[in-house]
Formats: sequence, structure tokens, C-alpha cells
Amino acid sequence: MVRCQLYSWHPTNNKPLTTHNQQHTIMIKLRDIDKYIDKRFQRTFILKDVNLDIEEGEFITVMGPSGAGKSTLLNILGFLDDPSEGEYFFYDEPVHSLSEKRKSDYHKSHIGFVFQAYHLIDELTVYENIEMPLLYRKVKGKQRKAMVADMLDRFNIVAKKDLFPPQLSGGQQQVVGVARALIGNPKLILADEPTGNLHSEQSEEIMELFAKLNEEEGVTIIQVTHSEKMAGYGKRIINLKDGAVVEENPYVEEV
Amino acid sequence: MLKNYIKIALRNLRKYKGYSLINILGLAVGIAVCLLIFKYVSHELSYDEYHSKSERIYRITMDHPQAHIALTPSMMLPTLQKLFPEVEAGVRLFDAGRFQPLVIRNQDRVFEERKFVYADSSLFKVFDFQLISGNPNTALAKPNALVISREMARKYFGNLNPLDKSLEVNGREFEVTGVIENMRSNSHFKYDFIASMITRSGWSELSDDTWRSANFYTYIVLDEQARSAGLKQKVDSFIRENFSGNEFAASLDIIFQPLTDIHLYSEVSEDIAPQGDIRYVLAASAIAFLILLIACINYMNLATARSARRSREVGIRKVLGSEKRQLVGQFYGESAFLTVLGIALSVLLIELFMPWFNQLTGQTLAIDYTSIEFWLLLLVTGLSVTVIAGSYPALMLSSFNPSAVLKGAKISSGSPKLRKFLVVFQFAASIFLIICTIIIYRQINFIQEKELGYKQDNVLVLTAYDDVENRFNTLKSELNQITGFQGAAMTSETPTSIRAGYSPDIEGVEEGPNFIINAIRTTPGFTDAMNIDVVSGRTFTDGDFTRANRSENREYAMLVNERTAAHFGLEPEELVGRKASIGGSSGTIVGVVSDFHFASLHRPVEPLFIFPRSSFNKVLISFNTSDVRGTLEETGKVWSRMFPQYPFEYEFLDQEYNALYQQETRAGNIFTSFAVLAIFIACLGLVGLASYMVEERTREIGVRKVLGATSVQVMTLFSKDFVILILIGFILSVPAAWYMMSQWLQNFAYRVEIEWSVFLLAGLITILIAMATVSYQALRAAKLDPVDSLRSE
Repeated sequence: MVRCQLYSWHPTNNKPLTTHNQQHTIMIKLRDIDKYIDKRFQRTFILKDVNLDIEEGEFITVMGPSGAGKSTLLNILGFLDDPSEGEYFFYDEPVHSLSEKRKSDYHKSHIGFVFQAYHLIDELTVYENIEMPLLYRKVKGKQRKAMVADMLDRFNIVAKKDLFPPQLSGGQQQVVGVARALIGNPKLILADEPTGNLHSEQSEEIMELFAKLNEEEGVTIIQVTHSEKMAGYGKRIINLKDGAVVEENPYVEEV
Repeated sequence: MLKNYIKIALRNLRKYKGYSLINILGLAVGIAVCLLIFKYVSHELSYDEYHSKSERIYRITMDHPQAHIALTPSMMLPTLQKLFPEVEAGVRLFDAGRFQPLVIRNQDRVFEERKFVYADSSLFKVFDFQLISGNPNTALAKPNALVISREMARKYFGNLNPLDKSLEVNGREFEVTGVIENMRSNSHFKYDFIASMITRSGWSELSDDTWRSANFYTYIVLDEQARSAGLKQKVDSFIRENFSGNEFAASLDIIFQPLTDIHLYSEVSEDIAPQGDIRYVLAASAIAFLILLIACINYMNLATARSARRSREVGIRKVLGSEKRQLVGQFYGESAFLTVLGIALSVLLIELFMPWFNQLTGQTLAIDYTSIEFWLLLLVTGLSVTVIAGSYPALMLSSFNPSAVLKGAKISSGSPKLRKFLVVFQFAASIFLIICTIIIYRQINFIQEKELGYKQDNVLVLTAYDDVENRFNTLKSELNQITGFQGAAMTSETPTSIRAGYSPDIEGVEEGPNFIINAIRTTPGFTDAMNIDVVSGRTFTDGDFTRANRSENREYAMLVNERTAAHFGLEPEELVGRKASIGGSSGTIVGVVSDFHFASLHRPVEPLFIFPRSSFNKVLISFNTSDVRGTLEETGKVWSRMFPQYPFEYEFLDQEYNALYQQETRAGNIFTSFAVLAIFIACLGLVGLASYMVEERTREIGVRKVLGATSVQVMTLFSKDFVILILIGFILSVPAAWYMMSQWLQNFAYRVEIEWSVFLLAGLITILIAMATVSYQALRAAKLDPVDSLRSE
């Protein structure tokens, strides 16, 4: 029997949080979410009995050892995957019964993804990669140009706009990835190990950016990371661990 | 958005030039083949449709238990027109050049022509032959009137207007009363000279309207309301009433053949010209479709095999908010784009290969680029290919689960099972075609090599003009001076195809009411010249010939073949000495000759009579020499010296013989071409798949080599997979090919056996070709340096 337990910890003083700030709207509600794979006579659980509330404007870090189901959780949150059982409410709308079209609408309007492997399209230039979300939102040419130019400027990559991803370093590619995620002014950013392939200086830059977005513009950010340091940028930590529930700070073990 | 799709499509195309080229080339070849065959098929199907009355025109044929012939008595048409008002119009054709060419002359322009026909003046009321000059109502009204084609006008008159000028035909002067446009290629008969039927009145007892003998092609036009079935009933009852005593007539069935059915559906003997066969048209269409399918399968296989490369893009697009149908559209668009490129290339290929294709089919077809039909066809083909080839990849690619993809999980590039199935199918089809090709060629070879029972090689066939007939003995003695001369004879027909039919009467034998026999008339020396054995009795003497052709009290010595004896259950010697009469001539059977094939090998040897009555149409000159050219020269000299007024135009007997099998030879060539094409396309696909597989498993190869595998072992590893697939394809194709070919061979009374060696040969050829294709890739893979393969990206 596999069970996943979620505990909320404050990132710096390691004291469990017992209350949430009641002022903000609840963006995400997960109720009894299960995710399993059935193979022949075996059912393998990746997530079991997950219950979660996330408010607008939160900066959350999901942590846990490999195979704990963090990416799966993120994918479910981001409509990329469906839970096997349970309910998911996004702004009180039941995601589990949304049509494909509605889901992609949300992708276009509300959600931005940042990946560990950047996932840029190698056959498109930096400019064209950043431009892509706008094409799906049917933004007109002139406005698109302006928005992309703004993004390039903001991240200081104007000189690189006609290069192709294989010609950039890891950090530069991730910057482009973030730029692409942000250009549509999403309300929610889901970041799966965004600094996993970066060295510390680059990582810091990215996390500073996230923190700024969260504080100044109220963008909700949910990140998955292994690094305690990166976790520190967030305001709430959610632990995922299969197997037994743990009482101690799980990070003592991680080191 | 569209620009984004186009950018990606183009850049992907450029990035993977090799694969793109394979795809485009494969599609281009498949489409080109399809279009060429379509052109051929539509041409075949369109025969005779251009006549405005084509739906109401019928040819009258006679079906008799022994044969269904396309000829009718000359009395048929006038009778029908008199009795049945629903026959709106009609025309009879008498083919004059059938047995013997005509010598046509205008001053110093002299040529032998065969496409000469006599027609009733009502010709233009039935058929829409366009008169460039002349009046359709009067052109064929008077005797000695001649209408010629535009081509002939140029040939005999140059740039002058031939109207009202004269043209000499076999010494008789005709007046040119009209010029028609050259008869279209999609006509079941094509003539260059049309003379007025009335010219022939009084020429012989058979030329005026009579029920005796059947030498005319009769066509009628029914009025709008009439149905041929109704008319047939009336005709049947007419015959029953008026010919009740005649056994022959009683067993006749008068058939009304729709004009547009003649070219592809008629199975009659003595047709006006060699026709096609609907079965070949159907086979061609099926093959066209098959080849196109193979090309589409290539595309499908390659596109899905490489889909893993696009999977990331698909995942990202979904993350960015793309709906599934946008992705589907994007990938259909890409396949449409490739198809367009393929079509462009195919048009180029078509133009390049049209001359070769025309040679293959014996036609002169050309694509009319200005016709709407062509562009419509192109559009339909393009759409079909896009849909057929593009559906599977489009649907598969667009259904990737983005989370799995982006996590970096290994993507299944479609179902490898399906891909294997498709490869199997491609090769099954290719092997099928190869087997059919081999068998067709063996049959053709068999036909060409077959001992016919008479001498085929080094026999010249010339026309027995009147003067030649008169001075034949002199000709023989002159030819005797030439070294290698074996013998000469004059005959009514060449032994390759004896068609004249008679109703014989043999002493002491019950022939039965419907017994028709073929007969050939020859001079003495025929059997010697042609190496035909006399099994019993003796052959003709000069005395026989004299007795047969004197002015009074004619007596005919006759020869029959072994089959005649067998037909009546007799031994050959039992027939020698019996009295017999044939075609109004009576005499004695003096000998029995061994059977020889005097018709195409489609039919078994039938009974045959030989008797020495003149007149003759052909001269056969038989030689035994290795210096063919020299002998030919000498013969030409003798001929020109003796008959300066006749051109020395000859054919070799075996050439004539091979012409009987034109259709089969053509079929053989067509099948070979298609088999080659199919294999080519299938191998294209293999190249793509194999190189893809190599790429995929580069790491695996590296590991294997590090663990000690040799290059050969790696090569074997790769080749093994494909060999198994090909073998499965082989097993599937064998029964289908065996069945089809047995059916086809049934057409021949004399045929090859389908042997195991054929199948093995086909399978071996395919495997060798495929292996050559794959092993190049495999070898490349095997030679890779493991260090490079294992370096992590």
C-alpha cells in the first residue's frame, strides 16, 4: 500500500503552517487525487489521496525524492495529465470534466510552463520560440512584435534573437524558456526543476526573477526542485514522499 | 500561425534532406505511374465514343458453335434495312488489305498499303469521320471513288490538293473524292483509304449481295426508341422462318455488339483489327493503385518512424495551448506540401518517360496540359495521397501525451508492428509482380521457341501478285541458283495463321452439321519447303497441280493433318484414298501430314485440309543458310529482275508469328516495368527505414561493439529483421501469384508449367536487392566508432 502524504512547512523556520491567508482567492483545489498505472494484475500508485488548496499569489515549492510523483503532480496541475481518480477544481471549475478545447484555452490564457530541459523548438530562432505562445493566442502581428521585443529587452537577449537554441548555452536557453512562459502574462507558472541544468549564478538569476514576479505582479508560482536553496525562494513547501509519513524535516535525510 | 508552420516544415525538410528526398521521390514515382496508367486506361475506355451516334451503333456478328466471328454475309445489311424500320442507317465494310497488300501509285510514288477498305456510301451517316474536303453525301456514291486520309494525301500528293485527282490501286484508276482527318487512335478500326463499295459490283460471284460466305463487317444505327434486344428477337424469328432447311443457319446466333464494347469486350475471331482486352485494363488499373499504395506506405512508415523527433515539438505546442486539431492540420499540411512537391516532380518524370511508356503500350499518348480534366485529376490524386499517406502520421503525432513526451520518456514512434506489416505488404506486392513477370516471360519465350511443326526461320513471305503467280515456276528455277535455297511455294495464307474456313465432306465419315474445317491452298513443294512431314500417303506432285487447275474436269488431290484423322477416330492411313470435297472442289485424299500449329497457341491444333487450287496470296521462300544478308540480297536481285513493277517487300515468317502475340509480349513488358518500379519504391522505403533504425540504435551498436561484436555480427543483426519480413511477404504473395498466373495461362492451349523455381527465383531476387539496400546502411552502422556512439549528448 502506497500512500502519499502532504505536509506544509514554512521554508525557513521549519514550523508547520496551520493556517492559510484567507484573503486570497483559492485558485487550485485538489480533492482525493489518485494517479495510478495498471499493468496486468498490478496497480502502481504514483499519487494517492492528494488533497491540496493553493491560493492566488502563492509561491510554492514541491519537494521530495526521485519518483515521488512531483512531476506528475505538476502535470496534473497544468492540465497536461489527468488524474485517475479524484477531483481538480481550477477557480472552482471542475478540470476533470473540461473539454480538450477548454483546457487548451486555459493553457493559452492562464498557464505558463518552464521545464528543466528547456524544451525549446530547435528549428525555430529565439525570437520565433518566444513568439509562439502569442501565435496561439492569435495576437496580431504588430502587437506581437512589440511584446517579443519587450521580452528580449527585459532578459537582455536582444542580440541573440536570430540564433537557434543549439547555439546557446544552457542558461541562455532556460532564459528563453522563461521568456516564452512569461510572454503571455500567465496567472500561474509551473516550473519543473527550472534550475536543474544551470550553475549557481544562473540559477540565482532565474529564481530572483520568479520571486520578483510573484511579489510585484502576484503571479502564482509552483516549482518543483531538489535544491533546498532554490526552495528557499518560495513561501511554502509541499513534501511528497511515497511510503511512510515522516515527522522530521525530510531534508536532514536528503543531505 | 501559418508562417510558423511553413517555417518549421521547410526547416525540417532541409534538416533531413535525405529522408525528405526519399519521400518526395517515392511519392513522385508512385504518382507518375498512376497518372500514366490512368491516361492509358482512359484512352482504352474511350474507344469509339467520339461518334455522335455511338450509343446507337451496333456491329453484327455471328455466333456459331465452332466460332464467333465478326464477319457477316453481304446480304445481311440490305435485308435488315428492308425488313426493320428501326434500323435507321447501316454500312458494310470490306477489308481489302487483309490477305494481301495493295499496290498504290501516284506517278512515281509507289507503296504497298494494307489499310484499305471498301465501304457503302452510307458510311458518313453512321460514323463521324471528318471530311476535310469533299462532300459526305456524295463522296462514296459512284464507282471508283476513293476517300483518303490526310496523311495519305501528303504521302501521295505532297502539298497539292488531291481532290478530283486520280490514284492507281492495283492497276485500277480511282478518283479521290474526299480527304478525311486521320482516324483517331481510339477507333477500333483505322483505315487510310476508303473506296466506294459499289466499285466491286460484279467483280465476283461473292461480291454482290448474297447469303453465301461471310466477308463483310456490318454496322447499323438503331433509332432512338429501338432496343437491340427487341430487334434481335425479330431477326431470330426471321432466320428461323426463312432458313429452316439450312442446318448451318439454324445453329447461328446473330449478335448485336454495341460499338463501344468492341474494343475491350469482344471475343470474336476475324476481328477487323487486333483489339484490347478489358482484363488487361483492369489489371493495369489495379497495378497502378498498388504502386501508389506502396509509395504512400513509404511515406507513412518513414514519417511515423521519425515521429519521435517531432514529439517534443508536439508536446511543447500542446503546452503552449495548441488544440489537437491544429496539430492534425499542421501535419496534414506537411504531407500536403510534400505531396505537392512529389506531384511537381512526377509531372517532370511523366514528360521524361512518356516516350518509353508509349513504346510499352504501343500507343502514342500525350498529356494535354491545358485540359481541365488533367488538373482535376492532379488535384484528386494529390488529395488522395495526402489523406492516405498523411492520415496515420498526422493522427499519431497529434495524439502524443505531452507530459510523457516532455518528461523525456522514450516515445514509441507509432506501432512498430504496423510498420512491419506495411513493409511486409510492400514486399508481398513487389514479389507478386516479379513472379507474374517471370511467368509471363517464360510463356512468351515458350511460344517463341516452340516447335510449331514447320520451318519458321529463314522463310521469307512475299505477296503473290498476278504476274508472280503466272511465272512461279520460272521464279523457282531462278531461285534454285542461289546457294542455300531449300524450296518455294505459293499459299493462300501463311501457315502462322490459317483462318479460311470450309464445310468439307469426307467419304464414309459423318462430319456432323456444324463441322467447319480450316484449309490452306498451296502449290506442290509446300511440305518440302516447310519441313512438314508426310505421315501417310504422299504429298502433291506437279501433276496434281495441273489436274486441279485445268479448265475442265478438275480433280483435287488433298492432304489432311493427323488431327483430322483423330477427330473421326481413324488412323491416318485409313483416310488415304478416300474421296472428299471442300469449297466446291472434289477429289481424293492422297496423304496425311503431321500436325503443325497454324493458329495461335491459344488454341489446340485443329483439323486442316490442304489442296492445290489457285489463286494464291503469298509466296514462301525457304532457305538453309548462315549468310542471311547475302541470300536476301540475291533473292532481291532475282525478284527485281523478274518483277520490276512490284516492290521487293518481304517479311520473315517468324516475325509474322511473333506478331500474333503482341498483346502478351506487351503484357510481359508492362509487368516487368511495374515490377521494377514497385521494387524500387519498396527499396526506397527500406533505405529510409534502415537508416532510421541505424540512427536510433547507434548507442546500442556502440555498446555491442564494446562488448566484442564484430562488424559482420552487427550487420547480420540488422539484416535479420528485414529478411524475416521479406520472407513473410514472400509466403503471402506466392498463393496469390500462383492463382492469377494459372488463370492467365488457361488462355493458352499450349503453355508452360508453373514451377517452384520461379517462386524461388523471385524470392531470391527480392531478398538480394533488399539486402543490398539495407546492408549499406548496416555496414555504415557497423563501422561506427563506439566512442562516438556512446558519447552522451
